[in-house]
Amino acid sequence: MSQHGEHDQTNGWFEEELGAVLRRTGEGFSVDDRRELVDGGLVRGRRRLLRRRVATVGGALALAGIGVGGVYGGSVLGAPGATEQASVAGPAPTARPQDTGMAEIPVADLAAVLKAATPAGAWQIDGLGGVGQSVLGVYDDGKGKAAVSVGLYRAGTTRESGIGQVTCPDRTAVPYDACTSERLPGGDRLMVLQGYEYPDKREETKNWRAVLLTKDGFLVDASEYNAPSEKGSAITREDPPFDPAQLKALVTAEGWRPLLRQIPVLEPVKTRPGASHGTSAPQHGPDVGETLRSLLPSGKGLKVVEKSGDSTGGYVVVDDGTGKSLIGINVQPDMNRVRDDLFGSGEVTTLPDGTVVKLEKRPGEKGGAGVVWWSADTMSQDGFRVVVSAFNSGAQHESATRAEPALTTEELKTIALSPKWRERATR
Amino acid sequence: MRTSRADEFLEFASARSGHLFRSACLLTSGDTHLAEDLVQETLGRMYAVWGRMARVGNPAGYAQSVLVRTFLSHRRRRSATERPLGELPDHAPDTGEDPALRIALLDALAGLAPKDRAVVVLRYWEDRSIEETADVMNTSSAAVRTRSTRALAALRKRLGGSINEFAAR
Repeated sequence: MSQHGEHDQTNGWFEEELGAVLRRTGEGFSVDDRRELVDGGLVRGRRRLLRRRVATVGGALALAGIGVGGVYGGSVLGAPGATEQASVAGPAPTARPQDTGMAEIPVADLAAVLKAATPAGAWQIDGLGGVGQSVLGVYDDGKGKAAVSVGLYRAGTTRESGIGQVTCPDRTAVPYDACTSERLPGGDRLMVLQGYEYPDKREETKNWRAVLLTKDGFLVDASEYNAPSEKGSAITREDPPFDPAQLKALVTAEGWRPLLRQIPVLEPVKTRPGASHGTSAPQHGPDVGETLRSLLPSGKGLKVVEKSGDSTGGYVVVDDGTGKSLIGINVQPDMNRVRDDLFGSGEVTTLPDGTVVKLEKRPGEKGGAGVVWWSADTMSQDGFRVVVSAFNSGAQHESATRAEPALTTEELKTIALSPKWRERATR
Repeated sequence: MRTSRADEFLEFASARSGHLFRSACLLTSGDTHLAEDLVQETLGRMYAVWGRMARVGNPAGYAQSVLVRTFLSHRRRRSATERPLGELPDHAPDTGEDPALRIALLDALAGLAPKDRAVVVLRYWEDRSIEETADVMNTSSAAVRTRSTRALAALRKRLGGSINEFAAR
């Protein structure tokens, strides 16, 4: 007993001392730029709000284009030039509230269009006295209450902006039962997707969604569920209430047009690359996945069974007859800031032109049984980074389908060092 | 977000970001890049619930809880389609403090399981009680005690007598 008491007392001293050391160490970390943290938080918060309001399908690809301030589009987080400006600029004004950029459309107006463009039924609309650019409600046609939402957005700043939002997502990222994508007379584009709230279908909640990209660059995004809320409610019916034709009628309703024009035009909030895993700067240019496919080694009998990508990253799933293998690529300019983190340890070789190369083989980290992750990470002297990864499975979270990835680390290196990546970036 | 709310949020975020960042640095055992990421994510989550903050009463404390939960869900959160970045943790730049102290402590923290590290940070950096810690981590007090005992034993083994020396400075 006395021994125990002594033990406790010693632990008590240790705890006190640990507290002191922890505080001293913690206080030693200083924030280089508090504004960046706050701005980054704002960007993410807006994205989060939009995601919640729009209630999009939970897959990363479907969400990849959601930007800030009511803007959709792949480039809204800023082109490389803009991010560079943000990271080296002197004191710039912290984002002001007006930058939040949400239109102040009366929710009652949005609700009126929603009701007029859907079959008769009882509605409970959230925040009817408020303003915004989305409307959320619960619809009841007598066959089970269902959550319905419609959000209005600007697609972005270029002609291509928003196309990703009306292109059926890859089933690797987002499982769904049906999806159609069509060009409507007059130039608008429409996607209707019958999917699920949870990509892993762990709950039965279905999310059916229609997205209209108007030819003048607006998005009307409607979602409906077979439950009275997006998450956390038991399902009330087998399917959401509106069928694909009714969803189409909803998003194409003329009533949205005058409301869309109230959405402010905004400059994207700037963020810098490298500081986080989620906000690296997208590049303009064609699909990286396509370039990756063109660089696959010939003579190995590789058949591309899936492919996807945007302007900065992509993947292909190949099969040489012995099982699927996921090959992923990420192209990032201006990454000198993290050079030491990436190449400061491990086996790094330096090429005559100064490009550093690091080849690694390690276990996968997404939970797929037996998955290994091989990679070739490269960075040129100016911070242009290309990293190519390969897995012995068709998806990182799925069990290994083969002993090793379909490409060797040397082959990954050859792909990463291709001049095509630089050519794309400078196009 | 209405203007006054947004103003309040910006004021809050500016005031708290420094402390959140330091907490995040301890949680990540010195990975300042990941710490920035976690703080931004935390502020993003706070922004999204800011309208309801009036009911929370203590947004600063709530933000700390969000930070820890964000840290703990970090690995789960990374989706299947996330692009591998392969960044490795790095230690904080020298700030004039005793570098041996920092390195020893951060290395010792790095040797702990993430949940154990979170317990240490909450209890000894945030001065939270066992019950409060359990609440933040959505676990039981008993589980926190177990983790705390295990973490302290590991840190003690790792740091040995040197901590007395550090603490006495």
